[in-house]
Amino acid sequence: MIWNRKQQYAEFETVALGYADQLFRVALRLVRNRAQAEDLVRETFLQAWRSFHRFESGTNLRAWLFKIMFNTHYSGRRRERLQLAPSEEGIAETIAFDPPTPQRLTEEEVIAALERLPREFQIVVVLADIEELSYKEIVETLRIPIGTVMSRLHRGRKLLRMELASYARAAGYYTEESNAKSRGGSRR
Amino acid sequence: MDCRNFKEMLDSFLSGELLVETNHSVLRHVELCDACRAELAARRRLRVSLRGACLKETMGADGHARLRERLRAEAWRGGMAGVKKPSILTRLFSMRLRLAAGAAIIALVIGGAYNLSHLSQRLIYAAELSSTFISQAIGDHDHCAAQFVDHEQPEGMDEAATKYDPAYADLDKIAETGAQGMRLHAAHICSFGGRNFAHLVYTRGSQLISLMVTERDARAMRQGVAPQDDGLRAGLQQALRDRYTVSAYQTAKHVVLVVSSLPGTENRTLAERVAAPICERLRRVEVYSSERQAQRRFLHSLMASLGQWSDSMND
Repeated sequence: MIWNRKQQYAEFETVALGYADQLFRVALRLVRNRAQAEDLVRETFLQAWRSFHRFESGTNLRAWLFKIMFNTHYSGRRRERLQLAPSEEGIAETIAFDPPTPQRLTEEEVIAALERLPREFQIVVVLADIEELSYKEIVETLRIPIGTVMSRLHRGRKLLRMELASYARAAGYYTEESNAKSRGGSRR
Repeated sequence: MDCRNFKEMLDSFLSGELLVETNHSVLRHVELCDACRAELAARRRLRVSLRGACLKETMGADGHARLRERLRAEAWRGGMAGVKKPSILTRLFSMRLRLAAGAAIIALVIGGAYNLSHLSQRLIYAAELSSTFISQAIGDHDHCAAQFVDHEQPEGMDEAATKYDPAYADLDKIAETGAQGMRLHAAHICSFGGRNFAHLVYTRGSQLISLMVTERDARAMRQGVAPQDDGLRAGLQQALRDRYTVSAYQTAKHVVLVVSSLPGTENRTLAERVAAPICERLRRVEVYSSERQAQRRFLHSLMASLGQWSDSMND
């Protein structure tokens, strides 16, 4: 019996713990610091182990783990979860304008801009563009319809560029040359 | 397509989500419009730098060790739903058998505890690949693969490779299912920068793709220390350098790589299809044998101690 469980646990470690860094990075977007993120990841794996016997091998383990993490995080935070569905129309109006993407950016600026995005957009951008989850995986993870995933991703990327553009303007990254170039180009 | 349409579609284009025809019109527009070409380059750079910056954030070797250790402790304390407790069964045994069963359980618990503490003591190294290693893989792809583009499909992995490492024997066959839609041009062992690679050269359309397996030694690791772990913690790692994308899996003793000039996501998908099965097979060969040995040793010692114990009961 003990051998059985030990084998089962070894199998669980083998297949699941490889996703620890991915979960950790997304956890960092949900909580305030690394220690809390580590706790959330551990709690996620613990929950996953407890229901591992219900996991069907061959189905998507990564999406399953992410789903458990979001459930774990939002259990007891019902109100916050509801806020994940924002009034998207308002945002759509504000982003009708799409400035050119700055040509020069440091990684710190990019991260800072990402962190300023509203949570619901930030999460989808992180899942899609950094952790490279498919739409289907994001649908499973966040339990929102695919249309919402696509529109949030589209708007999230746009908001990120807007943040960066305002940053670049403030830092004087838009040079005369690049402005001239973009004007020249648009005349064509 | 005008500039406004182009800007709307650009993100989907970069993620490879557009239909072939729309893709073409995006590319046609890029050829004609300087501003949009600059925008394409800027957004591509933004993606790369966003991903690069975020992927630097990891739990670190310490974090992983802590996670494993605490998870083991908590997982074993809490038990697992769906596992029945054997307490009722023990009532059916006679007094003597119950004593024997008790002794066996104690032995198992001690053995299990020993095994667990032994496992958690094992050092877990940061499983990041060294930059020299990535350069060697790209170098081999760059110099070797191109020479084989016009070659016919080989009969199988060449003999020299199999002799070098028996684990390289049927790599082409294991990758076959995942490699559908690609043409195999070479399956051999080659060397670049002092490193030997089992090298499968594929083409898909005009794209040249290398699937490689090599040893996971100290030189392959960023820390320059021979790895002791099973490589699983590493997951699928990805590196972008110049125009090449490298996706790598690690096992206890090998690194399996896919190198091409495809965009990151595509290379990754490809690696999941062709490199993952190879990795699974290598893991079975490497880990299974060592675990089996440990299990057998433990059972032998358990049987021996039970034998001694029942002898002393009979006396």
